[in-house]
Amino acid sequence: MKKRGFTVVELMTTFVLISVIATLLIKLTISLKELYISGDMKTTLLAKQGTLTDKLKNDLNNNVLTEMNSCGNNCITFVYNTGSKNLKVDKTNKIITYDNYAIKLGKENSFGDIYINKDDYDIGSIVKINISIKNKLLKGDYGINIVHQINDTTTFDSNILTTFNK
Amino acid sequence: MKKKSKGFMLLETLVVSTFIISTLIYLYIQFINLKKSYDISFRYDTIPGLYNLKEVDKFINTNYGYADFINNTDIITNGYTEIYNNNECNINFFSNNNNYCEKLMTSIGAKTILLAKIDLTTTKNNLKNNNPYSNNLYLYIKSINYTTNLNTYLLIIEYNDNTFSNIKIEKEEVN
Repeated sequence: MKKRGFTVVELMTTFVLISVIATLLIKLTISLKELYISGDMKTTLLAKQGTLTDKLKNDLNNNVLTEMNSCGNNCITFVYNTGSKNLKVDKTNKIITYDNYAIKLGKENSFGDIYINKDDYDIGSIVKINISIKNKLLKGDYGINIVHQINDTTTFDSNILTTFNK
Repeated sequence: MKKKSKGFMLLETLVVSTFIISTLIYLYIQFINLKKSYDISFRYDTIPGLYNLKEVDKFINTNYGYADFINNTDIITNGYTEIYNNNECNINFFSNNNNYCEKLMTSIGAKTILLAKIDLTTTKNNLKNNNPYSNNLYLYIKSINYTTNLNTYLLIIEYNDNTFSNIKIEKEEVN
């Protein structure tokens, strides 16, 4: 009798090997897709974080900060020797505004802790402005975390401490 | 009469499959390395990290100056000296304003801060043999490579969120 086609052993071996190859390929494809998506999200968030941090720190470092006042819930007015600028967080619409620059967060992002701290010492004060931004698909915080040292001559409206977290 | 064989032999299947699997494993290893480098690119020298480290520089420069730090025995022998680690500012330098120092470091989220010579050869060798800090910090320091200028130093920081930054301390600041 003439034999045709594969034997059972050949078929099984081939099947097992193809399964291994397919699993590896699928894993690789999924990882590449995740890498692409997370990379895109991270880049967008970090660009926004960087731009806002850059603008705030440039103003804080290059001007004399004379006053910090509350301008409502989640809003601070920085009074510099060159003029005033507001930092405002709109939690509902997911928008952060500083002066005339605004960033809008995507729907997959949410705000975490928003607060401002001020600690006074003999040699000056340490002000920390924290606007935490989380992404449900990414680990870590992509928000604003600014620490600035000010001297005692800066007038600080203590109302900020209670209104910058509502 | 010669036996006519049809289909693949087991040996043929094995050879081809081994070749394909090897290629895929090689691709996977390359991908893992790429992913590692990609992750690192988001953790090294971040913008907030650099600005917050600049605040440490401002604190040291305004209140102490760098002369005592760079003349310290540690930096001369080991290539680096510790500024902050384990939630404590180095008491040898910050006996004055220690509370302020610790509050500043906590506020910026610092885990470890070192001041090192810009030529990191000695620092890298010492940390390779005896590393009291995290392995990630060692890997970060290993990745730093500046053109040597003997009069320049580096402030190197590891943050609690596993990000890292460094800034140069310019010659005029040191003197």
